[in-house]
Amino acid sequence: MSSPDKEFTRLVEENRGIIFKVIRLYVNHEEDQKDLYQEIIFQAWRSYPRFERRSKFSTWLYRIGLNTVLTFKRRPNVIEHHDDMSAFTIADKTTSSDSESLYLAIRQLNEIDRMIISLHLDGYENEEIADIAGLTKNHVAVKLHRIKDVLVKTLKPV
Amino acid sequence: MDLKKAWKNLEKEKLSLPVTGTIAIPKQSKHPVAGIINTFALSLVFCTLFGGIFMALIFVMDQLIVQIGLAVITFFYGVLFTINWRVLHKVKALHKSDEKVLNVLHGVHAIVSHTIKFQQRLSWIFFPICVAGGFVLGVSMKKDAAAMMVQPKFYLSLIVTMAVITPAAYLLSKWMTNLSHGKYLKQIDELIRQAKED
Repeated sequence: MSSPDKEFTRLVEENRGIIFKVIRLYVNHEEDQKDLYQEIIFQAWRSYPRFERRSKFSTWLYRIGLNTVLTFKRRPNVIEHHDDMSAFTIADKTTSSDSESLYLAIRQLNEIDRMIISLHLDGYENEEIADIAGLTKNHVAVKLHRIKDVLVKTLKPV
Repeated sequence: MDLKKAWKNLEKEKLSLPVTGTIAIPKQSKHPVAGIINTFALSLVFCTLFGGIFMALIFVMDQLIVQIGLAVITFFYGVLFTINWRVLHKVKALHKSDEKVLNVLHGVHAIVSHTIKFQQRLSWIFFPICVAGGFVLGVSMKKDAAAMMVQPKFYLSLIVTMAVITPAAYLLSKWMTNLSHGKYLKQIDELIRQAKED
């Protein structure tokens, strides 16, 4: 294996948690997960010569992961509907853990909102989120405010 | 609920769970844009193949009118090759996964919609020429095409054949394109809408 290959493999190995996170936030189907995992590595490898080290590798990989997940063609039988989460009832809210409730609530958001809140909860500043998403900082702030409102309402114990 | 704390737990309990697969660099992409790129690459192969076959037929056929028809078709395949080559390079340049998410969505949307429009526009030129070429070639197999071409019956038959086959082939190709790309275009459209809404 040549030196750039080794370096790339090491960086992906160190940051593979980001790939798992992106995939698990968007895809349930095991075959889709496998395909996406391979595809994200492929897209990262293809784009690696353009990686200029202006940002951290993790941020760069996060962006590639999100782009790949969002633009991947979904299997017709596993197109996600927000209604799928309708089974998430008030009773569940009291019995499931906070993290499980948060997961279900995030999965109810649309795909772009899901990306914004996950970046925010991962500690990215609004400016960085805006840079990853291609939105303005103000737009991200407005969206985050609305998303948090939705999450608080969804997670509010009855 | 403390969202950040819950998120940390969620990462630990669920999101960091490994997905089956190794870190080996895959040789092929399963991305839809890679599919589009492959289609264009394949069309270049077909253009070369058919262009070559029609060019060879020019030397095989002995009727001048058929040779002229074949030369027109060969020229058309050359034009088609050039157009496909340019579009292929444009698509390759547009598809970058490390750009900003909204830029990538717009890029993929542009690739898919451009491909659909390109194929539909091209089919209005491609199908009639193919039908006419096939018709003349078919006639020349049993009769003298030049002699047949002075008869009004020839043109009537050609017009009827073209009038039936061209729209049918156009509709079939439109249906097939929508089947392969239509749903995907809607998926990207929806994501762009989500990104733009407040």
